[in-house]
Amino acid sequence: MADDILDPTGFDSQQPAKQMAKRLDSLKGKTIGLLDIGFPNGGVFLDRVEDLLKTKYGVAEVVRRAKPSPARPAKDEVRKELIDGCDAIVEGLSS
Amino acid sequence: MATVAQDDPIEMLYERGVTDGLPVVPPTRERVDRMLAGAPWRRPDELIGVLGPQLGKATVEKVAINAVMAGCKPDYFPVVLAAAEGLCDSALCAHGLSITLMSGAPLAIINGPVRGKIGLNSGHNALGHGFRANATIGRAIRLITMNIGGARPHGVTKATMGHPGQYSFLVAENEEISPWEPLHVERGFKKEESAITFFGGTGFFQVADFGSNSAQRLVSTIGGTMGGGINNYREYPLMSDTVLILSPEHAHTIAKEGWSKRDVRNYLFETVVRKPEDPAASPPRGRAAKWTTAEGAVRKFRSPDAIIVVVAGGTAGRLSVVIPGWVSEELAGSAPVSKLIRLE
Repeated sequence: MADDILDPTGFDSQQPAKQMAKRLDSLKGKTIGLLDIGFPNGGVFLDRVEDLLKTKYGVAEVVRRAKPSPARPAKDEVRKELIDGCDAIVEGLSS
Repeated sequence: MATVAQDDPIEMLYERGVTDGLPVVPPTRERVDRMLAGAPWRRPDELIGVLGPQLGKATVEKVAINAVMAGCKPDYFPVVLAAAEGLCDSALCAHGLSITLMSGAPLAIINGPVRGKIGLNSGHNALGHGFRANATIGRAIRLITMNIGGARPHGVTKATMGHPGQYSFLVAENEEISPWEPLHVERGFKKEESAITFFGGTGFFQVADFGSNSAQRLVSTIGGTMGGGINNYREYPLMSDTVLILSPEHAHTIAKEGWSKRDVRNYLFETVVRKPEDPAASPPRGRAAKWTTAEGAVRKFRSPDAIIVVVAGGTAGRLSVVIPGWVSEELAGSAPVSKLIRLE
């Protein structure tokens, strides 16, 4: 009977949960991406995160990018730019 | 605890996590083929679109499988296909509606001859239970969202409260009794065509007004109910775009004085405001600043066009319904989308 039941899913629902990326040994000298998801005051919060990453943790560069709005996903080119250009990424939330 | 039969296909589908919480009709090859025969002009492997949040591929066959599970008859399949096309339209932002913390669900509004052809109820209980076409097409929309789009509760879908309309949220316009042109004609279709319009909706408010006999007074009461949900006094306005479903009695009270739908929209746009002296008001800033009146009151609506007016429900009852939207198009949120329902 089970063989005759068709699969209603349009994505690979059986794939294992995503593996965690390798942790960084240190933030020193690294390039960190900050993705602002667009809620009010998110930029204020991320300004402070950027400041702390640089002054307290020795991060070399912070790449700031944003989603078009909290409601809509980040554009593919923004995702690619962050993944290719950064050692780690923080997806920033709201106030 | 009593055991369930492991070879029961209904239980097996529960185990696979592909139901909305209610039992589904097992999608056997035979049943899916019968569903596909409801729209023989579409190839089963044809890709309708890609649906978030998991970017699943909505092929005609995958849509048919979910339509079977929802309990649809093959006659409903053209509507479900048009619904799938609407869900995959990025303007609707079904992706965001599926993963928001807000109580959101796409409201489907059906217009045109298809309503009579497949037995969609647009009279008494128009938003309620009891009618197979309404219930199962609405349910198919949810199953497509879950199973093709991957919007699984407690997975990527974690709304704070959720929404009962996530089981089924569909209304057919009562065009035969409406004093105005139907929604799909306003949106560019011919009256003899059928169409589905999606609106990113939240919870609904009842407008109960048994007393108003003038258009202005009745539309003011409706505006009073709408104004309870003003959320645009901060930088991040929500619930501005709104669907107004007028009962036939209310619609005729308004129309008998010569008011058009446009008049209703304009009046609501101008009058539904939060004045500065209101204790709940705070100074508008950011995007909301441009939504103020000359007197400094904050508007509910970004434009008269942000209000969709349809007529549905039974002939008795001075009771309408207001469904505020989720995040409006202006904020790169959700815009209503309409799709032709091809019947041959």
